[in-house]
Amino acid sequence: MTTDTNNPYAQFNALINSNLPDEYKEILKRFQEQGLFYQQLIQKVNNNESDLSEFWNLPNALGFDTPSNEQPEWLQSIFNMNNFQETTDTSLIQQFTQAISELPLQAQKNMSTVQSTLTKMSRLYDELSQSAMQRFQTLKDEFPNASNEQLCTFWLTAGEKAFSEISQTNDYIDTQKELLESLSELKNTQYALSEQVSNLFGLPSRQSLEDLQKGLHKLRIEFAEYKEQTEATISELKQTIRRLK
Amino acid sequence: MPTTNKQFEDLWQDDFVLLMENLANTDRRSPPEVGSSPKELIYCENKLQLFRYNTLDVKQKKTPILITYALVNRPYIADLEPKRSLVLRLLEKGYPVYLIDWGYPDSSDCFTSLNDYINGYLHRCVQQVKRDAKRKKIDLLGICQGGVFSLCYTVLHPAEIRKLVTLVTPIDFHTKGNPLGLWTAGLNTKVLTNNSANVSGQLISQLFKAMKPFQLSREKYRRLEHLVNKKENLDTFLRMERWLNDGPDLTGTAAHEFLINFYQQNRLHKNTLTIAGNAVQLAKIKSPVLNLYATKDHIVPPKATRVLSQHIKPTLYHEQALVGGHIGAFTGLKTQHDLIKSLSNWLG
Repeated sequence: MTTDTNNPYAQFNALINSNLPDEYKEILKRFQEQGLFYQQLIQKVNNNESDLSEFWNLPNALGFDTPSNEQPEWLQSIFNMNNFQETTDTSLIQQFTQAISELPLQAQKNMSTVQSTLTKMSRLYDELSQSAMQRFQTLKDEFPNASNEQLCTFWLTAGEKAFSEISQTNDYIDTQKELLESLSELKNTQYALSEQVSNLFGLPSRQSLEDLQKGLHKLRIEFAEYKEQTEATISELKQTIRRLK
Repeated sequence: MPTTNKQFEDLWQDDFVLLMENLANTDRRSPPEVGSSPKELIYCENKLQLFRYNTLDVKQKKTPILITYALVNRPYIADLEPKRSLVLRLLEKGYPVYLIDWGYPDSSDCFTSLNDYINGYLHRCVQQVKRDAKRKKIDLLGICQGGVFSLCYTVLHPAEIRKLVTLVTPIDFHTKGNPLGLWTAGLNTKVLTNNSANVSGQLISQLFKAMKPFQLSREKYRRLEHLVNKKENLDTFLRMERWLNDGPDLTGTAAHEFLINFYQQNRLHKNTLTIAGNAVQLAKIKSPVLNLYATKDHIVPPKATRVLSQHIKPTLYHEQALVGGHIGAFTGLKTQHDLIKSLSNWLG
């Protein structure tokens, strides 16, 4: 490699653009991202910044606050839920109207419900961040001369304890359940819509695809059972022949 | 990404540079191999593959062991690398070892049910192992959800199993403080299924990460020093990363059934479980059972697995604690010694 190894940034970029296995590139990106995170954490702590709550942002830790592959495809295909925010310029309703003006009313209602539960979850995530920050501050106060390594350990302890506490509250569990139920309702509406569209354009419906899948599955199982019975019979016959010999 | 006018300063900058150099080294063009113990494919069905591991030059035991892993991750964790391979440890003791690889389900598998897995795939694998090893019974070693399947199988097919080992296997899904149990109560899996009507492996991976979100999403990427100081540490890390990010999808039907019957209704522990209309009552198990559990398991806490003792006849039941987490219990260098000692003393 001819990159300047005194400049880690250049080295990093060079590696990402090289023919290094993709698996390694992903790992390096993850390390780099987390390294930046801890760097910012330590910097802000050492600068005595008062609001550190962003460092326990749960969606950010789990990668949920950007469009990701973990979201079901059908959710991504409608629009990105995470991009909708209440602002003073454009109300949620206006944003919704713009994005979904062509969808039937039911879907609009479903999306509205999803958004309101997302808002509730956001509030809980904020509570988590604040709680973690308070715990962190307590630990820091106990050990004012803590090293950077210790600060990172305090960060982890504060975060996991705060999460453990909040994630088992009825409020968190109920809100999470509400979110998933509202997503389920939305999915049902989408299913009904897609059946209508399939009918309109003469395409195979979801039901017909399901029937095919069921049929294929049944065929596979029957064939496997038949094959097993045949093999067992052949094996018995071979044993019988050996005994007779 | 850092901006171009900002220097990349970090606590662990030197270590990160070493890591980059390590990975860019020409010797590392391909990631370290996983599941490398030599084996032979003896049966395949749809996506499933059944392997027999090549024996070592030691005196062979008679009864083969069939390893059944969970659906949610890849089974090569049992043979991650030679030093941490449960498979290799068993082979070194002379046990004939077989392993089921469930494969990667696609949309055509979305109607595969628990009955298909237990009374179908697993049953046919047991028959294949019996014929291949020329034995009338086999020993079954189920890991995590694979242990749940193995328990159900042993109840439903008692004549096939000589001895049963369950490793980090949940029985009671409603233990206090179990976040997975709390989060899945009332959940409808249909909301989790993708366009293939299966549950995405990535989603399951996120769910497990969410049990300890800060530790599992960030902390391990901070601790670089031990990785760059020793090549084998980095190799192990790379293998584990591959395994963690290699989760197959779960078939929609089996995921739905497992969620309802185990996580929501806790039917196995309550003795109300049926599979294809047949009651699965653990008290009916007539084979000796060795239940191995991990003392620091946050996914299957000891309480969740030790309740098996309430179901199995005392003369048949034996349990053993392993110091470690859910995966560390059988991949940890220190724990493996205790694990294999327990296994070989008990299996005979």
